[in-house]
Order: sequence, then structure tokens, then C-alpha cells
Amino acid sequence: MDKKEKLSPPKWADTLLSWYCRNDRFEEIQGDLHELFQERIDEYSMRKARLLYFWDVIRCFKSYAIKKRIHSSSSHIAMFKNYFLIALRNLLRYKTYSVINIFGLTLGIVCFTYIFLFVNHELSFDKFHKNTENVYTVPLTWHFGATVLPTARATSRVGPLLEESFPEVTSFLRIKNPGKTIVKSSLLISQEHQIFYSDSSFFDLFTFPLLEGDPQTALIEPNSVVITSSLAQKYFGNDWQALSLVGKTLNIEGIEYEITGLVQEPPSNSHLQFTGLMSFSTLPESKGGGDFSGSSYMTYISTLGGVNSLTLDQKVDTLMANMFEEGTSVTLDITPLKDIYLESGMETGLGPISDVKYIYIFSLIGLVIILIACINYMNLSTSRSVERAKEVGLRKVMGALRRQLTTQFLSESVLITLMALILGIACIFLLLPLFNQLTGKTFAAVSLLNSDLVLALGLIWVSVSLLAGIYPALILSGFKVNNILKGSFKFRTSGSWLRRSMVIVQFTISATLIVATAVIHQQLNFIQNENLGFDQDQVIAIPFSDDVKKGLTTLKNELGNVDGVLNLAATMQLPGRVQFESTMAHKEGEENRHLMRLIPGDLNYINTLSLNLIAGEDFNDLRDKEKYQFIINEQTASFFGWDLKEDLGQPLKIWNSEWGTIIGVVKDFHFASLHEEIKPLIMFYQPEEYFMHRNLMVKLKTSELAKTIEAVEGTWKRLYPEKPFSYTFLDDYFGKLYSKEEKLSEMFTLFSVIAIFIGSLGLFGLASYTAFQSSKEIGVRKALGATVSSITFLLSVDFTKQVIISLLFSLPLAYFLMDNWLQSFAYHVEVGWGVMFFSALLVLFISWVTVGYKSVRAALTNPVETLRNE
Amino acid sequence: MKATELGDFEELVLMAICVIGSQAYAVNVKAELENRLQKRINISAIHTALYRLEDKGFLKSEIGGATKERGGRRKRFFTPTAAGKGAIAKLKAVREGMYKLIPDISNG
Repeated sequence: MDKKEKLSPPKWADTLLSWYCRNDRFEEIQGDLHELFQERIDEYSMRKARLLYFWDVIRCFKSYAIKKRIHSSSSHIAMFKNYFLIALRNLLRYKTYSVINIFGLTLGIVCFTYIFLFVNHELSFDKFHKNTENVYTVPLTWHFGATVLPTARATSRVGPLLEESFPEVTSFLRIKNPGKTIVKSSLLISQEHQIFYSDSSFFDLFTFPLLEGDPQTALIEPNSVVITSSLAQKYFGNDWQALSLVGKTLNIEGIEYEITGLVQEPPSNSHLQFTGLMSFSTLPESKGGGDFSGSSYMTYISTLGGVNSLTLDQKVDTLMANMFEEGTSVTLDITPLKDIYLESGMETGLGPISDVKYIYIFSLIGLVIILIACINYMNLSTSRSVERAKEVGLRKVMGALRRQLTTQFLSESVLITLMALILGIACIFLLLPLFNQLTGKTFAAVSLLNSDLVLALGLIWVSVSLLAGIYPALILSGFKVNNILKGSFKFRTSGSWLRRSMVIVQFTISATLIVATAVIHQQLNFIQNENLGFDQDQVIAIPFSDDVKKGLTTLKNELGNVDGVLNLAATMQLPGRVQFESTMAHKEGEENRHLMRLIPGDLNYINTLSLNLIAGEDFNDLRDKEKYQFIINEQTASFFGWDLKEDLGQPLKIWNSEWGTIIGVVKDFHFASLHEEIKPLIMFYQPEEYFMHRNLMVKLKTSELAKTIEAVEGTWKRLYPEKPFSYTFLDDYFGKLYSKEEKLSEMFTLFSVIAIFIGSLGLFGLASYTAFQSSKEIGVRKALGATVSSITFLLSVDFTKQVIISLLFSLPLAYFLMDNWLQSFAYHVEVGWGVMFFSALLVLFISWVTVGYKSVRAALTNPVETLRNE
Repeated sequence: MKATELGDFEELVLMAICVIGSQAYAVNVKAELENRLQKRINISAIHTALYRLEDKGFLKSEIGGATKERGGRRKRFFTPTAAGKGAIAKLKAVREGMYKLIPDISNG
């Protein structure tokens, strides 16, 4: 018995009870709980009894037990009314600060929301498929000796092989992008880029709803095609829906395809963007189980639920080992469907691809901008504390508790944030087209009204109110009554170190963004003006299909006669996209074969691109046609250890062909993006009818460009009235390689402007307040003979110090970040002192203008104005 | 009107107090009900019902003297008011009236 009495419930549970329980019921409730506890000791273990006691304490946290607030609910509402009234009066009385606060927060909220929309959309990619979790893609990597050649696709054998070998792989899907296709209906002939060949399992693996047709059978028969509604509209006119297209035919690349289904447009958050799907069985390689030549098939597999992709990956590796002869091997990377868009970095060629890095960057910027806006609010509210001090003092004398004052000031920030939020929502909808243009997305205003956004806005409201409001609320409510009312209360300097560091934080962020923007601009500028080693100006590229090729000689001759055409040459891939090592080459007397990049070129290839031939001679159609003629770049020459002059005429072998001859060497030129270094390159002569040629490059005279292009088009139309004519400028084509960087540059420019703007707004508010505070001091100083410049200096020196400190933080930070970014380019600018210096100067200049305006005005005020009312 | 209505559980608690008599308080009401209903009830549910019944005027309460078994903490004893007893009687009448009209049960 004695022992039992010593056993007592956990102390901390009792503490919890006494914390929340109202005094008049505490004793009886605690008594009841203790009694139950004593009973339980007999029944259960001590541990369990104590646990149950704690559970009871938690359960008793109910209205009957909780301490009542001092005031009743009706006066509660009245108090809130009063808080809001006072808040509104303050807003109207200090219009400058109100505008700065609300406007800054609005901007912050708008930026944040847009970034949220962007990020949310990016993260939603490929999650709409019912089967997302169990679908993987299988990119294939070739290993030739030590050379590794990753691809996004696989060979036609991989899909069937995996399905045969592993019971957990339920089906496979191969998609082949034929590139451009010419589509013909009774209404229209045009080029399409997004019609792919696809296995019949397409609609099993992916969830793209069919408007008409049977998803199970649509892609089984050869020469079947499923088209999207937009393609149907394009080729069958606006009343396509009335035509019941299923069963009709569509001519693609000269072959009649039966339309077996109509499918909804793929949503914008699909990595697979198609306008039509042709049945894979149409292709000759569909017969049998496929083979291992040519990895041009994007391959997907679906697995049973709960299959571990890592285990499968290992099994696949085991299967693929020993599949090939010595020296060559293949690995497959089982990659989840939902990772394709952001994580894999593969160029699928089937739709957009992004990088998860951008998600991080933009999320960070969004947070940082809203932080800057919150800091404004904090600084402005605390710095103006003197004005509110009397109110605080009076409320305290009348019996207000600190908690109530905190509530009051928090409710003020809730109100201001709400105003900013409402304004922000209006802006979000108004500026949507601009945002779409900037991001390349197509958000519709209606689609914004979903639960995600509402939730995000709610979260912004609460968190911004708290973040901005809690510090001022705690500071203002903590004032001592006797200090305030004695009249000895002055602008408190104790809080000002925090205010200063806040300003420093703001300007560190802004300056970092500015340096980043400057560096990105500089790098883009560098890329665009870098001498590429070939002349990309005034060169247009005209893509052509196989059936044009038969008459290409005629076309070339005709075009050669067009006034304004200087040179022309057929080739396979345009400079800028010679991205992959596509041949094995080796020199005489060496067994080792090396992967090299290859360009087949027509007679005038070198001249059309104005390449700089530094040794040897140009392609020549008079030579022995059976023998390959090679022109190599300096990299290849040094790779094989050849001397430029003496070793001309060296034999070289590509693929398994006959030996060819090196006839010339060109100066290195950028045939791929500046992200990578110039690699060894082999160009070889092929007359225009060569089967790999895909583009006709035409060099034009500078004058009367438009007229010349028109004439070129006229010639094309005359020779191929059936074929659509299209062209791109080579410099545009090359420039597109950097579209990601250009987007980044636009975004950074915008965000850094916004960041520095919000920061300056805050600085302006602080400066004008300081000027107002010290107006009497300024008056006295002026009366005693101080000059305008000395007073201006006095007022701005403090802010200048803060900005300079922030520069000390931001410049190294920016250097580190941007140097890192620049490493993704093989050819890049250095983050120089120039950029740093000018960015620093810009930030200083902006802050001086901001602070200076108020300071000068204060300094110019006639002392009589400030000193006469005392 | 609503404030004076009896909830299901409240009715049970009220009856338990009538059964126990003058020494009814939260812990023995809980024991009584657990015994009769053959299920566990959390003490907080009993508390809620008791205080609410008091607010509605069906119970009145007073603090008892110091006790030994619970570290000297006093108990709050509840006794039914006239209104409380009346409410039970009224509910019983309504129930019995309806009960008789159910053919299957009353005949069996």
C-alpha cells in the first residue's frame, strides 16, 4: 500500500493539465484522473498506467476544462472592430508607408504565385497517366571500348526482348519519330513534325483519352493512324466533327493511312507531344522481334505493380552483358516515366524536356522576393514605432494585455497582406498573357482557379502575415508603459541593428541577382558574337524529303541561277546539331577505332559555310568516285597526330568502307553548341543525291534578302508544286541552341529588377522616415550654418554603409554561383571585375537616388518650417 | 428550447447519477456506465456530459470534503434537480408509448 502511494502519475502531464485547466475545476478534474490512475496501477503495468494518464490529460483538453479568456466573445468582436478601424486609420494617415508596404507585398505575392504556377506545372509532368508509377523508359547506352555513347532511345529489339525475358514486364512500347512528314488531305498539303510511329500498346501504357475509335485495336493494323482533334481540324476543316473521320484515309508521305481513332490533344504537361500516331506495324522493322541496329526507338515498358525498378535494372544489366562481341556492350537505364521530363536530361525528340535545376532556382527566387517584401513591412513598422508608442501606452494603461496588443498588430499585418493579396490576385489575372509569353506555357485564366492555387494563396496569406507581422507585433507590444508616458520614449536604437541587418539581407539578395543577370547577359552576348569559325549569316537551310532528292540536281542547278544566290550545298545535319559521334574511324596501321563526328557534305559545302581551309583542297567531283574524300578539322589532325601539310593524302577509314583520303584540313569551327568543346570532325564528300542528305544550305547575297528568298521559293514551287516549302536561317537555328539560357536571362532580368525595386521601396520608406524623425535636428543644424550637402551626406551615410556591407556579402556569393553556372559552357566569359564593379555601382547608385531624394528634400527645407511649432 | 434537450449519452449519465444516489461523481459514474454498457468510456466524455447537464439545469453539484484516496483532492458530487428527474420521466413516457406501438417487439 505504501509503495503504491509513492507511485504517482507523470509530473509533466500534471503540468500540462494545470497549464490549460481552469482553476475552479482543476482540483476535481485532477482528482478524478488521479483516482483512475490509482485504479489502473492494480490492473496494468506502471508504464501503461502513466501512458493512459497522459492520454486522459490530452482527452480532457475540452471546452469544459480549458481556461476561459478574460473577455467575453462579444467584446472580442468589438475589440477586433477597433483594431481594424485603427489599422485603417493608420493606413490612410501614413499613405506613403501604406503604399510601399502594400505595393511591395503585392509584387512579392504576384511573383511568388507565378513561380508557384510554373513550378507546379513543371512538377506535374506525366503524372496524369493512370499507370504512371509502373511505366519506365529504357534509354540505351553504347559502350565501344572506353567510349561511352548515351542515347535517349533504344534499338527495336530492346522492347520485345525485355518483355520476353522478364515476367514482371507486362508490355512494351516503341515510338519512332520519323522527323518531318508530309501530310496530304483533299484540303491541304503541309508538313508535320509530331506524327510518330507507335506500337499498339500506346493506349495501355499512357492515358490519352480517345474521342472516337477503340484504344485496344486502333494501332494494330499496318497503315493505321490516330490523329488529334487539332490535326483533324487542320486537314479536314472546321466541321471535321461532322465528317465521322474514323474509317476515312489520310495521305502521309505518299501512303494512304486509315484513320482508326481521334484522340484528345496531349495535355501541356506531357513529355510526349504528338499530333498523330501511325501504327508501328507499318514499319518494316516491326517484323520479328526487332534487331540491334540503330537506336532510334524511344522505348517504354510497363511492369506489374510493386516492381522495384532497381532490382529490374540489375536483372536487365545481367541480361545485356555478353550480348555482344568483345569490345562492344550495351547498358539500359530503367528510368521512371515521371522522371523523364525533369530528371533524365535526355533529348527524347518527342516533346519538351526541362531540368530540375531550374525548379530549384526559381523556387528560391520566389521565396527570396517575398522575403524582401516582408522585410520592408517589418522595417517600416518597427521604425515607425514612436508613432504607435502612445497608442500602445494608452491601451496598456486601460488594461490591455501584451497578448492582446500582439493580436492587434498581427491583425494589422493580416489586413495589409489581405489587401496586397486581393490586388495581387487581380494582377495575376491581368498579367497572365505576359507570364505565358515569358515562360512559354499556356495557362488559361480559368484553369488557375483550382484548389492548388487557392491553397497556395491561403498559405501565402497566413505565412506572409505571420512573417511580416510577428516581429513588429512583439516589439510594439513589449514597450514599457512608464517609459512611453513619461515622455522619455525615443526612437529606440536597440532594434535598429536588426533593421540594419534586414536592409543588408535585402540588398545582398538584390545585388546577387543583379550580378547574376549581368553575367548571364554577358555570356549570351559572348555566345552570339563568338566567331563560330563559319559564316552563319545569310545562309538559309531548306529541309527536303526523300522524294525531292531524286530531282535535287535540277533544283540545285535552278537555284544556282537565281539572282542573289551565292553558293549552295546539300548536307545531312546543320551545324549546331552535329552532337553525336556517329562513326568509327581509324587510320592506317592502327587497330584502334575511334568514335568521331561526321558530316556528309556536297561539293560546295566548305564554300557555303565559308569554312577556312588551312591546308589541302576542297571536295572535287573529278576525283575517283569510289574513294571517299575527307576534309578534317584541326582537332582530328592532332588526334591522329598528323602534320597539317605533310600528312595530306593520308588514308582514313570510316565504318567498314574502303580506305579514303584526307584531302584537306579546315580550321576548327563550332559545329555544336558552345556548351561543348570542339571535337574531332570528319567531313566527307557525297554528291547531292546521297541518301543521308536532308538539308539544302543556300548562301545568299546580303542585299535584297527577302526578294531572293521569294525567288528561291518560286523555283521550289515550280519544281515541286506538291511539296510545302520551308526554310530557317542558320543563325536562328544556331541561336535556338541557347533558348534555355535566353529564357533564364529574361527571367533573371525581370526578377532582379523586381527585387531591387521592392528593396528600394523599403529603403525609400526608411530614408523618408529618418528624414522626418530628424527634421528638427536638420532645422537646428541649418540654422547654425550647415550646408545642404553636409546634411544630405549625414542622412545618407548610414544607408550607404549598409549597402556597401551588403555588396561585400553579395559579390563573392554571386561570383561563386555564376562561376559555377559558366562551367556548363566549354567556351565562356569569366566573371570579371568589370561586371562586379558596374553591378556594385548600379546598386549604390539606385540606393543613393532612393535615399538621396528624401535627404536632399529634407536638407532643402527651410528651418523655419520645422522649428516653429514647438 | 435546444439548450434544455437531453442528449442520448447525457440521459444515460443523468440516470446513472440517479442510480448511484448522493455520492455520485465523475469516477463512479464512469464505473457505473462502463459496467452497464460493457464498453470503455473516457473520463472526459463523462466530464463533458456532467458539466453540460449542470449548465442545462438538470444537475446541481457541490464540492465534497477532503479525501484520502486521491491525495486530498476534493470531489464534486452531483445530484439531479427536479427538472432532471422530470426530463427522465418524460423521455421514459415517450419511449414506452412508442415501444408499445412496435408490433414485433411488444407481441414477442
